[in-house]
Amino acid sequence: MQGATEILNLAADQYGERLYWHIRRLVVSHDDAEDALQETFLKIYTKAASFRGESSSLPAWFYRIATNEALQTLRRRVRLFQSIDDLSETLSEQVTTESAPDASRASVLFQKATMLLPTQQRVAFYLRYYDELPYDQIARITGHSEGSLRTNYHYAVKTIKKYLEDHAI
Amino acid sequence: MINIDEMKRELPYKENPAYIRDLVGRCRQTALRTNAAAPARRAWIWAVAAAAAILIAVIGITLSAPRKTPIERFLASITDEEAAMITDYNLEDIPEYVNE
Repeated sequence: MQGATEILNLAADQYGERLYWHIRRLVVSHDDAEDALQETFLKIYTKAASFRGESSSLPAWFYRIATNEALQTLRRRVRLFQSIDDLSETLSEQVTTESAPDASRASVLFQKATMLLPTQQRVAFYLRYYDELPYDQIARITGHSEGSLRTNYHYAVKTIKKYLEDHAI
Repeated sequence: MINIDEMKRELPYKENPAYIRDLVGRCRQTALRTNAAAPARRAWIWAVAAAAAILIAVIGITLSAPRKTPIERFLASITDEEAAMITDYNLEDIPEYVNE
């Protein structure tokens, strides 16, 4: 088994940027993504000693921690008795403010469309669409069955397509 | 008909790749530093918790100690000579205000 420092180095060197973008897609704001990435690395380093899986399952473990930290960041933004799903409007508006001035209209609308998805669907969609991870790995990250993830992806695509068609893309 | 798989997987957020690499490096360094400082921080937390526990125990013992009655306080406040003078008296003879 590798030491904590080696595992942290692996996470930073080979997955650091991917983890940042995965978090960024979920939380939208760069500042929140930076904080969540920091917490992710700290968790990876402090919990590396208790990691019992094979080396091959480390990437899924990194993504799992990053996803949890991103969702935790979003939870801090909701009021008592609200769910993260209630943030969809706010996140959708934030996509506009966080987008680069030269970003294409299609990319902005696409991101806004993903904000309408329930959180579980959104996580599954991002991991499949942007990170191109196989369903068995996404299942290990999210803790959901492959069948439900396929269904989530299917519904996510349907919702996004409808949104884009409604906005004349 | 839109086929999203044929769309470019492009995000509207544009961050400089070099900046993101630098950010990742900084986060890694902070994680290493924070974890190295953790034992010292835990020692501080234990020390503060122990001091608080001792303080609470002292306050608890002080408050739960039996309190003296006015007569006992009066007797404790007088000198041996004065005590000798009043031994002949019945405690009933001590002026009323002493009992207040």
